[in-house]
Amino acid sequence: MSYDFNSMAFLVVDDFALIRDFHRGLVRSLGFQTVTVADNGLDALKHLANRHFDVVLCDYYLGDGKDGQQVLEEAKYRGLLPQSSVFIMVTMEQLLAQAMAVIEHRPDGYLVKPVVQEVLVHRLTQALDRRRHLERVNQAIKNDRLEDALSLCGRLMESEPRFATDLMEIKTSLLIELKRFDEADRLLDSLLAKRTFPWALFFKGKVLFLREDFKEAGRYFLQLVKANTHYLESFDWLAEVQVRLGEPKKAQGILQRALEVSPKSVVRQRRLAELALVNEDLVTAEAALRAAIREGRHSCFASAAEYAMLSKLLLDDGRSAKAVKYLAEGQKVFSRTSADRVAVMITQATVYDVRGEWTRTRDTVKFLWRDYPQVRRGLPAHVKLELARLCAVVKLPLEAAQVLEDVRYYHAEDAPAVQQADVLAATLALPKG
Amino acid sequence: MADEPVTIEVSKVIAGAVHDIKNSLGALASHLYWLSQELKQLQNESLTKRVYDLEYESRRINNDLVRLLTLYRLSDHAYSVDPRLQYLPEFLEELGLEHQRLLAARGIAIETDCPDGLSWYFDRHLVSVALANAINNAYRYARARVRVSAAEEEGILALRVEDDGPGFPASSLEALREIAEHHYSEAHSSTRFGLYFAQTVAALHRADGRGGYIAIGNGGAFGGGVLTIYLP
Repeated sequence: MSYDFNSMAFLVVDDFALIRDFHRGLVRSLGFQTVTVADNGLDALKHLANRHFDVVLCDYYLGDGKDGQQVLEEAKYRGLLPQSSVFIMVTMEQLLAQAMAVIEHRPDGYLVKPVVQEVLVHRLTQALDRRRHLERVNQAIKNDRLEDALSLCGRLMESEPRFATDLMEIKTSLLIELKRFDEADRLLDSLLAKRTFPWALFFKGKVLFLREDFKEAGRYFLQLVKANTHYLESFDWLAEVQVRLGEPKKAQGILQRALEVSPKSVVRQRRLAELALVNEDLVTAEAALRAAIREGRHSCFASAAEYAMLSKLLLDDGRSAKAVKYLAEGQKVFSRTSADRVAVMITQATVYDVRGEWTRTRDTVKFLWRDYPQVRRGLPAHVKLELARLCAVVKLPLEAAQVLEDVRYYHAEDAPAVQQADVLAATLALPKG
Repeated sequence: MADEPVTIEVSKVIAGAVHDIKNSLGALASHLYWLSQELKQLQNESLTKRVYDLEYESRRINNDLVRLLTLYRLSDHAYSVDPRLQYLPEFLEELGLEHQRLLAARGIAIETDCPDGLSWYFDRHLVSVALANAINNAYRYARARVRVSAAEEEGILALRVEDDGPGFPASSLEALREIAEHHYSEAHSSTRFGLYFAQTVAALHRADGRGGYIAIGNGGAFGGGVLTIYLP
């Protein structure tokens, strides 16, 4: 079908002024009245947050800042792209951009420069058609009506067979979400018996992982990364497979390889740091945390965790002034949610305690205590144990007892943690249970 | 200092350089496209035609480099075939739209033909680069017509590019025979490189244990060269 471009809002993103102007002219000549331009990823996200856009034409390479794929991922994560909008990636080289795209965050299409009017209109129409047909499925998923989404997929496969690959992918991920692993398995096996579909291999690995058959899952992810060293998502899963198989060193090596290809992912840097800490590789952990903080300064994927971990690491290394600096920054950035605030402030209290600043330690603990009731469920056991210890140090025995009780209640299945709570309660001469 | 052997990372250096050249060419082709659009508005036909020729040449080199880089990425495991269901009427329509403007400036009409509703699994990027090369050749050799068609033939997809030019010379037929026997001679020939790429892309598409292949010949719908890419 043909669309009325008149009423649609268009966003052009390119770091190169000449191309930006040209694309704007091209888009205007197609009848789009509202055409906004951005010269970098951050700017693009600002525009996307401010108003609804029907079409985004974004260059993959955007200079030193975020690349096009990161813009797409952040926009999706933050809900800035409506279900009906299309995102088209412009590249000089489609191969790499395509391989790096995360399965759930693929653009609606790729265009190779130079963008020619006839091809742009064609691709745009195709993408809008696809969006229009898949909109009800996506809407159902968004509203958590997964069974409905599944039956809609089935019906669309009959009426719109040309979207079969998209529908198969959505169907598989829905089956996985609904934990109907047998069905997902059968579907994937029947597809893979005919051809090697990279996306089907990926989902096959995911199903096996969720069924806790880590060895088999590893085989699939390994096959993917061997065939294509740019399937970064498969590296992430392969690393988690190694963690589950009790091989954190191997897991660390795998993530390091993925980060060599693409060092900008905050989430991956943070995960690398966690694994390096497990492996007691403090050099790698520190570098990864610094990278996570650096890349996270303009990313919605940043968390308080990297600030807390880096400060703790610096503190253990005797660099407490640096630790305080990062904590201050972390606190400034993460004052929005109580969970983030508490995570950062517990580390801060630890810093004051190590430096022997008793009053400051006590003030910090008292301050964070106001947020504690809202976050107690989600706070990891080891953080709770540290908080309990701090409460005892600053002579808040009732609070310490409360936290230890929470460890026993919320982490009942974590035997070592419960045991530590009991030991701590005994040494602090606190009432048990 | 001891005499250390100097190692030269040839393939990586070449890949990097090719990537850089390709970017420049992409920019050049963009400039030429915009220039031709502006000239068209000024209704200066002879200049427009000459700019079209320039744009064609830059696109041809660009396509050469894309094929080079693609082969490198494939051999370096930085890309793997991603077959997705393609709706052939739509795929061919886009291919036609992409080339129609430049071909028309040369007085060549491009037509596409495909049964309604035909769809097939293949890697869109790889196959369209291989077909673009065949169409670019038609730009050089065709007199007035080029046709791109798709059809299912005995359970295999046949993608065919035909023109009304002089057809493939005997040397091309010989080159394809050598390529099919995994023998790539260094003889300078752009046809040979084009055939090698198309053959590689076809062979990388596998289904039910069979791989794809290509065939060339003369005659066809318009009596000129015929290239067919068969995909299982």
